[in-house]
Amino acid sequence: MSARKKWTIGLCIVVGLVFPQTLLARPEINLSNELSFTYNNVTGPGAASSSLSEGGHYLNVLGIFGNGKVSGYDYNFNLGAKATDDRNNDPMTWSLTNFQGRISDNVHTLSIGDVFESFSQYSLGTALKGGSYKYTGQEGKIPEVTILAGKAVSRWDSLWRETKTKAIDRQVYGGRVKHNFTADLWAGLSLVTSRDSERINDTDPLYDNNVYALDLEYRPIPGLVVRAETAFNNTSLSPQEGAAYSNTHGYAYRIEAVGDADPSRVSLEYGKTAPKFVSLLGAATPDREKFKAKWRYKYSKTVTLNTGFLWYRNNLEGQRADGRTDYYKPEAGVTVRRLFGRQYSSADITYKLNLADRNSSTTKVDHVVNLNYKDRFGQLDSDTNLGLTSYETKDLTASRRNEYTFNQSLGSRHTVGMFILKPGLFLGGTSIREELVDEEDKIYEYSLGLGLDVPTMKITSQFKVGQNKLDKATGDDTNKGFANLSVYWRPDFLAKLNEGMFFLRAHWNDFNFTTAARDFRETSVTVGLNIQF
Amino acid sequence: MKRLTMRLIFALALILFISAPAGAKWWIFGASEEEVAINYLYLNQMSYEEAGKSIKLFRETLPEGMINIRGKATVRKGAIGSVLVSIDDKANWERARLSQDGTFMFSFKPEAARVYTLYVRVIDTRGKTNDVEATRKEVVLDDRNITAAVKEAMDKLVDAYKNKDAGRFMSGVGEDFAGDATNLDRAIRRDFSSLSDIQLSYTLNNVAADAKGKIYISLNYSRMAIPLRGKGTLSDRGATEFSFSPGDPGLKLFSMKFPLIFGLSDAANVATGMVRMTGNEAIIIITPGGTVEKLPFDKALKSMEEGSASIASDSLTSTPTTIFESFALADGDKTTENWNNACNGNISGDFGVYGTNHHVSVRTGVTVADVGIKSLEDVKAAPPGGYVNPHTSCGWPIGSGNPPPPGSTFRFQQGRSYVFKLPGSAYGAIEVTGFSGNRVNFKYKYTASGPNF
Repeated sequence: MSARKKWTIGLCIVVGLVFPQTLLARPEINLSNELSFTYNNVTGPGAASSSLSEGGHYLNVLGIFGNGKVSGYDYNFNLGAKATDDRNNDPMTWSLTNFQGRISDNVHTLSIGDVFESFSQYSLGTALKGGSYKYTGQEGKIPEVTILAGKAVSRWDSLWRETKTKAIDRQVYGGRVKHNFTADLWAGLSLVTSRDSERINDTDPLYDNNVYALDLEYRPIPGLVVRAETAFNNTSLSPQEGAAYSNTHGYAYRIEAVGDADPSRVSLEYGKTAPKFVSLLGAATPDREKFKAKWRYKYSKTVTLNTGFLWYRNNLEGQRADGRTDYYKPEAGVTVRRLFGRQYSSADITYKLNLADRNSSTTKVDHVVNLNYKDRFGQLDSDTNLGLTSYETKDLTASRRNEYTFNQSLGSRHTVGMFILKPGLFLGGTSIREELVDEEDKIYEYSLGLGLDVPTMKITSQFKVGQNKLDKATGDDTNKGFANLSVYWRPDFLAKLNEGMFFLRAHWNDFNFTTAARDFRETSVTVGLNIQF
Repeated sequence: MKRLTMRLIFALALILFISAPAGAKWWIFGASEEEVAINYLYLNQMSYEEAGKSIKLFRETLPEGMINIRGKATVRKGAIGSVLVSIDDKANWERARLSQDGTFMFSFKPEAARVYTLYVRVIDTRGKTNDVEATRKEVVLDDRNITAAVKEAMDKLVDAYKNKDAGRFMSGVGEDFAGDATNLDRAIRRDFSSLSDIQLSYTLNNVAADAKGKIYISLNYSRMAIPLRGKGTLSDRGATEFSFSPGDPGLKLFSMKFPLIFGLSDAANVATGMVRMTGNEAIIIITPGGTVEKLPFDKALKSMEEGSASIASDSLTSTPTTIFESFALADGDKTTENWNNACNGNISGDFGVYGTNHHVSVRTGVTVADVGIKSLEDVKAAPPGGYVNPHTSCGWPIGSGNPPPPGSTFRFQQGRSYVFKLPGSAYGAIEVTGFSGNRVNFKYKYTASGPNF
């Protein structure tokens, strides 16, 4: 028997021994199940382009959640499974989606199965299949200690090496000690080590990675919090099959200050990540120096100002052949509610600039302006959106692409006897114009919708039909007709099961291109039952 | 210099920020002069102020099914008398457990679906209180399992993305999004510019939550995209991972791994981490230049990491005096051309190769520059000048059947790279890797928004 199988069976035995005992203590158990059948029909010469699986398919998603108390310990467990024959949905017919158990007495916490212990940004923020133990010191006098071990794979069936879902075997061990030095200051020390084995493809890189991180949080005055983290890595990398391991080292650090008290919220952040910093289980962008500032100011009860500035650059060690690129991304916006004294009105205008500067010369300047206005006129809810985006390339060859977007949606709600009618209209258009070559692509969309609710019968439904057209200056034009329908019904006889709902979802898309060989039509109808108890 | 300036700005801002004495917070223009204040508040392990005005909690994330409010109160003069907490919109107040250093703790067991309106009142020994209104928060225990809540948040993101509604999409993204919300906002707008239509569906594979309320998911996706430029309709499917954090209202997107289903245009900045595809299946990407491509996972990853256009290989064939093939750099389409159009620029592709000496035919409006003996990987940017229109100096009597005079026209040579300047801001580049008879083998790459590849 392989070590992996032993490991998996061992885990199952622990769960099997511990949790049935707890089940004896009258737990609270919730169960949900959704069973649906879908029929897809795809026709036309371009049918291969559809992302639907032809024919009839089933999908069943089961979830069981329970919690309770036994011998002074609180416990909860969570189990989920999925079954489907739609290979576009899942490569496996049966799969375990959740498998998690936790037991705690407020001081000791043991978790097994899906374990998600986020240590710190640079060290660990990924779910593992394994186990963790946490000791929480009372009143903060003793440090909080967490240890864990597991596999960093996203699917349970990857753990038992199903061919279709096989992933690189990444064994993870980690530990963290966190201590509250004062009521205003805590610091944590984390170590996460991972060992890769068993490539799927010859070109898959394998890492042996250690990340050491120190993070802290300090609150010097009311409303202000300062967070900081520094991390180092020690990495061995074999880039592909047959390639020897080579060692690299890197560092990362960041400091963030957030001031939050009405009417203002300000955040400042600075960070630097070396090109060779590798965090396989945390979050970091290598080769990055960054400064970010945000300020939200509530000028009055109806006016809020938002400003932000983001700068970052690469080539920290002069290693890039194409040199250094700096990005500057300032933005400003204002939201005004009850404009012109209108109770339901809200206007929002934002301006965003995106500027790239390569080797001290500006290469790209993008301007994004967006204006949104919402209001209610009588029984009509209106939402209007106007956008202008200008993409400008400024170096060797000047070019400018302007995009104009306009969207207007109108909606209403009427009660007629036992029915609630919710008609809606959407009109949208985008023009994308290349200024130098004087070419313009246009996208139009218009749709009509009708919502129909019957509260006494616990039915909600929505129907929408429309057309989406793309007119291109050069190349294939596209014309898509679409319609979709959804109906949800919660009949009384299913209420005995706490919550139960039948649903019907259908959609139809008819894609037509200038090149008729690309045309296709897809129709999909899904019926299902969702029950919870 | 710029670097120094940025650091100075940050240092100055931080000094101003941290050195502000209590009650004189510059960022609110000295508006806060509270004599009684709360240094910090936590709701379970979440920062109270960063959790938003209203928050949904899930039973699976509550320690022993309880909500714990933990904080520290300070006073300028005197001492703290008591800390009271209301969970029913000030109708009743209950005393929190208070320590001498001002830290306090209050716990209650919430019932599902009930809205708890919380307030925290700190009273000093002189009877002065904190800004109680600033502590208002609505908390509701969502009795659904976390999977249902994640599905609701994901459905909202997918629907907004499919409908190209950037504002609605970003309302489902947390301010603290790991790849920077600013980058994601720009990236989805670029996606919308590059794709005329998007069909996207997903199913959840795995959902796990930690005690801080952060939720981790893995999912399978299936999608179809129609690029605005280029002829193909692309579809792919794969697996990736997201994480969510509690927000106002509902869950907010916190991070995404590569391959991405949102923000493809700036994958290098938006994605934090990567889920490797089992069989190196091809996935849809959008290059920094705005080109929509479907590439094997390894190539897509390399393109993302290096922030450069991907390189592919192809070849063109010519049958002297009869027909030849032209090639479109944007989508790799090949077209059989009439021999008589070799020199007049009237071809469908961007360029073609004709004759036994590999002469170059270029479409009207396209020019080409010889950048020398160089591998395509080393061609990082289009040169500023040196472009010619070969068909204007063809010098070859069309239809005569005679070979073109050596050196009189532009022709490909093995080992050299060539850059094509295309209409708009697009560029293409090729490296001629070899000849076999009338076949020319080459590698190529393309950017819709040059000059950098």
